[in-house]
Amino acid sequence: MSNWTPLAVLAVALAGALAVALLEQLVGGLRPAPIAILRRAAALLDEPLSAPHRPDAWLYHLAPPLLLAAAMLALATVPWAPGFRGIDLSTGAILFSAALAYVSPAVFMAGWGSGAPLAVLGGFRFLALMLAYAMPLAMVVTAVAAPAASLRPTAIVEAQDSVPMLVSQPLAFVLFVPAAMAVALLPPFDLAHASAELGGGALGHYSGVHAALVGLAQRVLVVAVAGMTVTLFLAGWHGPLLPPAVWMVGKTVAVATLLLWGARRVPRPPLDWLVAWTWKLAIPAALGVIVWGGLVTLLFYR
Amino acid sequence: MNAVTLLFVLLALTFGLAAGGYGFALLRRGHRRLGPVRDPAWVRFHVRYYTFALLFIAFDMEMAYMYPWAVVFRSLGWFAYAEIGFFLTVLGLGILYAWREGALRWS
Amino acid sequence: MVLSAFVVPDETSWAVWGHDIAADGLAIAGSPEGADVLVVPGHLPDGLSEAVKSAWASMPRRRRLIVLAGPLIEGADVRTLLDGNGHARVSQEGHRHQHDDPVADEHGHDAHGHDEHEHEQHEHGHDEHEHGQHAQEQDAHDHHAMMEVTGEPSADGLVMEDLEFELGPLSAVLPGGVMATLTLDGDVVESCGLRATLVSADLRVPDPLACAAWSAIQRDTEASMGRVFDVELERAVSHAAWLTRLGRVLGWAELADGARRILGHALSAREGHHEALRESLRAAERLHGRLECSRRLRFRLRGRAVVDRGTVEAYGLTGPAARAAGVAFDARVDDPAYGALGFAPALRAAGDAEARTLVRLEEIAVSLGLALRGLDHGADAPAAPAIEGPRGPLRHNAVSGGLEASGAAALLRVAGERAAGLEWSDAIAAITSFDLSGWRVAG
Repeated sequence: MSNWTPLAVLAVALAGALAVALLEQLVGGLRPAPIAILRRAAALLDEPLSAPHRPDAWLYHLAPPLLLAAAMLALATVPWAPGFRGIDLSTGAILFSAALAYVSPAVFMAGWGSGAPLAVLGGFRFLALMLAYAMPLAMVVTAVAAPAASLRPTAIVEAQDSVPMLVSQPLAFVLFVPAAMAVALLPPFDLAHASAELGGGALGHYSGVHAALVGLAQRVLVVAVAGMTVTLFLAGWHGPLLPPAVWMVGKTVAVATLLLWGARRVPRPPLDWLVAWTWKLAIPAALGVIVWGGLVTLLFYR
Repeated sequence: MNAVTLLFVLLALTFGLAAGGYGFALLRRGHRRLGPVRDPAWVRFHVRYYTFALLFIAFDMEMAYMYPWAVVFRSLGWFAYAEIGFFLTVLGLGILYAWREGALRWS
Repeated sequence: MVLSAFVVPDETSWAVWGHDIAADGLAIAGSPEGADVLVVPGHLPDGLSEAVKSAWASMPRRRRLIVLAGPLIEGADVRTLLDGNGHARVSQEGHRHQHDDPVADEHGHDAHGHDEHEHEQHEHGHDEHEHGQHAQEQDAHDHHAMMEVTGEPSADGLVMEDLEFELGPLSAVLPGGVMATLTLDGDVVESCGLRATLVSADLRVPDPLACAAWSAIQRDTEASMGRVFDVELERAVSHAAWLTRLGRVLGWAELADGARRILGHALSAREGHHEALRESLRAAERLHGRLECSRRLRFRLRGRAVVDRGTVEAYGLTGPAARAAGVAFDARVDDPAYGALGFAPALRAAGDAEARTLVRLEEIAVSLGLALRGLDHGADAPAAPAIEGPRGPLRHNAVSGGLEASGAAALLRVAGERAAGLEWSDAIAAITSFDLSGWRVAG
């Protein structure tokens, strides 16, 4: 890890965000137009700083950077290659969940700060959504960490050099992916910021720099959760012939495409149904996943 | 640079970037007030999912015990496995109890 | 999608008027603040001018105005409206920027063969004082105006405050022109009053389809098969546009894409490419087959906002909302021109949002089939006194000289009543399932 690592993470975030924006266009059946995306981003930066009239300016201005910080920290825990491990903490997997925990206050602050009825409503709805996705997200990480006997992402990658976790713990993957989509603000879990349902909701009253930061953060979140899915389940940088970094990037792009593609194919579930059935089904299943992960560890990883 | 320093440098970089963006916009184009003048919709919101929130706090606490277990359990073996099995059973029963008491629905 | 557009009155109306905004490469923005482009018709009906001014004022500095060629609405010219009070100034510099207007670069609207005017308007300089001035202006006619807080104990005995506010006439959540007065308890809609605010000055354009229906009634001396073709194609376009909206409201891009495919072919058939009718019909049948047994649709819409037979009769509902409840009322049944083509109305019994969706979807296929047969047969038949529009029968009123759309007001009332008691996303899906129109018929 050199002194350049923070800048490298930043570069991964910016390049990844552009890649996700291009993937969105591809998956949506449009011709990818990188120049147009960059030009729009530049146009957003050329706007006056905006704020709503009455409401809480502090929360309104703080929310986009907080969202971006959460996304960047989550991204930084993803190891891209043996030589580029990001924040290589022995508790990296917890740091990933902890960083993503800031997404919900950020979204809530955005909604509350703008003060518009549908924005405040969107903020409260995101809190309910968080109650649904946060538990599976965190529990699954433990189940995957057990075979590696470590919460260090690189150790989890090393533990998969022969068998990816997807094979040994498929149910964990099934629980992790929707939770990851929810925390990455992807449809069908856009219950707090859907444009046709809430007029943009909690994030609908941003323009200019704020909108640029929020848009960047949303895409970085997609890169982060896709990268972490690869790290936890798809053997990270392992793969034959090609260099590790190429495998890691290729797999991450594939997972991101899968997430964006899946996002178009399911209608948005009603929030009350979603939260209730997460607790009735997904969280007990996540407990089962931990039991299964322990069994797999004792039988095959000792 | 160690991992913790990296974490804080990255945080500083992100907030610095955002602050720079705000400053740039402010100096270059000034600021403007958007949207209509209105009283914010800050009502005493009926949070119908509060029972889930209470459960969530309990479960979030339990998560704190599972992280260290995940790290050490491979070396401790079947004994630690039985322990976590017992612990998770209690948690599972907790969910069933909450379900029976009607906590798993929006009020 | 790169640029996002805030669409006036809404993207459904524009689809019926011949422009599929999303197919032009523009994303539909949820709020004017997040939009780059304001898409407007050349003239605005009275009910929209203030809302459009306020939306334009909320847009970013590098906003663009796209004035599309729409129907002949009588009302304020949108360019003078937005130029006139300092909201938009077409500056000299603005013209120099013209070349980097990505809309013009990427999505050649002209390729669609429409006559449209597109001009970009930049507002330059630091304009805080100007916006300060807007603030006071907007105070009077704010589209989310009137929000107040009232306290009363809820079911679990806690004292909560209801959120009262108005939405519309321009909001991404409701059809353009529909105004909602909402009371929310948490995120459950406690009461919802809906009303249509747009009135056309000469009664001839109350509704996108009514426009075609009107001309069909006027043309009663011409071959009625031509009338069948026109009206049925309009119905297919209107229903497909509605289905696109439903897809967006449900957050289901796949459904919106499928509906947009039907719409695209139907629109090109309307422009005279009759071979596109078969394409459109095939797309409609495919989507119908998929949705008929779709678990996802059932999960999302079944049992929502049920309107039973009794309600239909008591309220005087007409159109697909009535047929979805099993009431076989359809102006086409009594029309000899349709009898000759072997028409039978699409019916469902459940009366819920799913049934309304499937009735409309079936009607798209039926209508396209009728239009095809109407093309093949060229026989003459006497004109009918009423035409079945997409939301119910349209009649020529000999006294006022205008159109009567019976059931429109009842539809708004029922939609509002059915939304009450539902959680927000269910409420919006329920309101959408009634295919409300923001236009009302005066007199």
